Amino acid sequence: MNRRELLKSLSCGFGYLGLAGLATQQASAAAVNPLGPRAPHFAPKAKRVIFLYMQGAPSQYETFDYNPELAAAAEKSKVMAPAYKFNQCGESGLHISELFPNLSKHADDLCLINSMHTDSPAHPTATIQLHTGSFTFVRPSIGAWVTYGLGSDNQDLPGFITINPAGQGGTQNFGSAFLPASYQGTQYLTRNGKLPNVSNANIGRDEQRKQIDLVQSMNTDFLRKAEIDPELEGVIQSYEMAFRMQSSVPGVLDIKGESDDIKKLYGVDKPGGASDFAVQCLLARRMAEAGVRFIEISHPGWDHHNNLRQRIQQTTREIDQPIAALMTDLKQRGMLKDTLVVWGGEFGRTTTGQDGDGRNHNNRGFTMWMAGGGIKGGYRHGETDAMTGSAVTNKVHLHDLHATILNQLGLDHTKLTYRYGGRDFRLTDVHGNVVKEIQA
Amino acid sequence: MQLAQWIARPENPLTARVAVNRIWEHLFGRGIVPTVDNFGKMGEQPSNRELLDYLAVRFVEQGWSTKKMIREIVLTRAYHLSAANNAANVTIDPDNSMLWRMNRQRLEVEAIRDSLLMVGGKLDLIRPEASPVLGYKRGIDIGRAKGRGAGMGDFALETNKRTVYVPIVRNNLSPMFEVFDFPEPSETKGRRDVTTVPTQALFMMNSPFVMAQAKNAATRLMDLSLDSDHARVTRAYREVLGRNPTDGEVKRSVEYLQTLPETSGAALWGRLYQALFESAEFRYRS
Repeated sequence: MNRRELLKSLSCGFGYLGLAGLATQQASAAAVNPLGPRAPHFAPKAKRVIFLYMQGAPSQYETFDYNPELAAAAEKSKVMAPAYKFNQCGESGLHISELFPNLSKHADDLCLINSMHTDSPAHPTATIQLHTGSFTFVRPSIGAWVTYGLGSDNQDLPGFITINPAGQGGTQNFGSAFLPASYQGTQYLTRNGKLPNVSNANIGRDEQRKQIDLVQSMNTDFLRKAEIDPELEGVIQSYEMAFRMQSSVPGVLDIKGESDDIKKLYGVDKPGGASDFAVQCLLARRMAEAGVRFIEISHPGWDHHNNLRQRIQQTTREIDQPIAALMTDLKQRGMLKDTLVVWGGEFGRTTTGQDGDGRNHNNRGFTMWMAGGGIKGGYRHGETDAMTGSAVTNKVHLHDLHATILNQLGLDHTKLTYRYGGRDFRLTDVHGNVVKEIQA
Repeated sequence: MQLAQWIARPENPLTARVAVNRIWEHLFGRGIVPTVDNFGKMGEQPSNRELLDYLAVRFVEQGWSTKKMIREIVLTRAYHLSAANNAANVTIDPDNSMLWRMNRQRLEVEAIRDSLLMVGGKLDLIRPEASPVLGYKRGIDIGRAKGRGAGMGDFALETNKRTVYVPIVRNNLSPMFEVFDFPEPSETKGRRDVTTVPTQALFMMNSPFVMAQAKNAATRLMDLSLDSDHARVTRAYREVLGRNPTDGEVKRSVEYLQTLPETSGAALWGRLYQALFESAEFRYRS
């Protein structure tokens, strides 16, 4: 009896035995499970990313870019003095705006990159570039690249989830473009409370299991007739994974079981209902814990052209406690060290004022911060010029940030490529340098 | 205009080769040149150069008609082969580059949706008079806050027209299309990805669309008033998989139905239709 006949005669001949026989056919392995975990290029510092996207472009001068010269310059020019005071926080003495009484307690974990710059000062293009590296062509989202590079650690959940996606550009911000569709981000909307098609109102679990058992017996017969076919084995596995997802996904999305302390920490226990962003932060931690590779959560409403003083106070209040809670929670679970937390918007805002109480778009200088995942805490990198608001020292372009995020995950941004239309593509195209100075 | 004329002039062999190779790829699941988007030094060599050139010349002679080219190819012996294996041939040509059998191909989303509607008896074969996008007074809302296409419905669910008539709106691709590897509408793609992921299984198991077509199919089956379960199972197999079930399959299907809480009627038989929809055999061309 040869190998083929042996496999044919076994009722359970599908699965890994069949695969082992085809080990030389690389493409076949990918056909079975494109989301299986894959080794990084080198030892990673971070296993996963939580991206806190601040839609609308937060003003750095009221949040994380301490710039005393700006106040001085405001006396004798058109620039607008920071509307809020900065305090030195933590052992590092990092300057953080008074608008973050909770988050400032984590100053020693934050790495403020005050010298970010990007290519577009318009929301739609800049948002797409922030997510995909390009605003001229449709390109895969960074989350799709990461999932393509590393696969998923949990086969019961999508590898890339975006909660309540905000911002112009729509699905392109979490799309997979030319990468296979299995790497695109899965949208989770907190108002829906569930991922699409993971539950069935008409068929109970036991009844559905019987149906799947029938289907699997048909599939096994079909596979036996086909002899060896990794793609068909993939179909069989996909039904078992799907069935498991139905039980695990609702559990991950259900925050009711969290302790009162945790609920209080995030502020999801507030009378009158939890703030949406607090729920997102708690869900991000639950998904991170469950092995989701790339999680994006969003807070809209940072486009403060007017009434900045009052509006930014409100917006920062909505994110301060939940993000601080996320940091505390990740840390107490020992997860901050291998979770890369990234905070920021599509660009920043100008030094000059609008109507005395607002700031305009500024793509030449803005602030993002990172924490955990092998990034140096209590550290400030680069600065903007007090007059022009442009990044002037240790400039970090968006491509550099993307290269650095991949680097923390053990991926070389010049080697993470995908062949499409006759050439190899990268998240960073032909650009990007890993920012070495901010490595822990 | 000059560039267009230069590209499409009959003496330019490349354009016609690329075009027929794509048609071939769609029909056989693999191009004569496997790298359909990449002819030349960086791409792979054609498996049959003479065939490629023959088809390219025919294509130009027949006025660049895609329809005529498809007709010519689907009438060939090669296209009529089954995907059945043959041990002797595998050892000689494991990649099937000489087409000793048909490549087993996952159906594209268009065929999956059309087949589901067809079995459910709902497929509307009449060409629509105009795009349903026109129904949206503001047209396609480009570049607004929520992205293009925001506020539009899922066209794949709003109509029972053939999928080829379902409009493709950038940034508002039907979730069903995304699940089954429809290409990103802003990109050119000569060869679609074929992924096998749990979201496809979940779609077949739980989407209201699949459930509805299973129910529709079962309702039609009940209307036939067939005289035995054997006849009903046979009918369902023929509709969904295009073949008669074996005795073992009939037995297994009837036994499955007996374990369900529903005892008769469309609700019960809808479960069997759904199981057939879920099967790998339905999703693949063999």
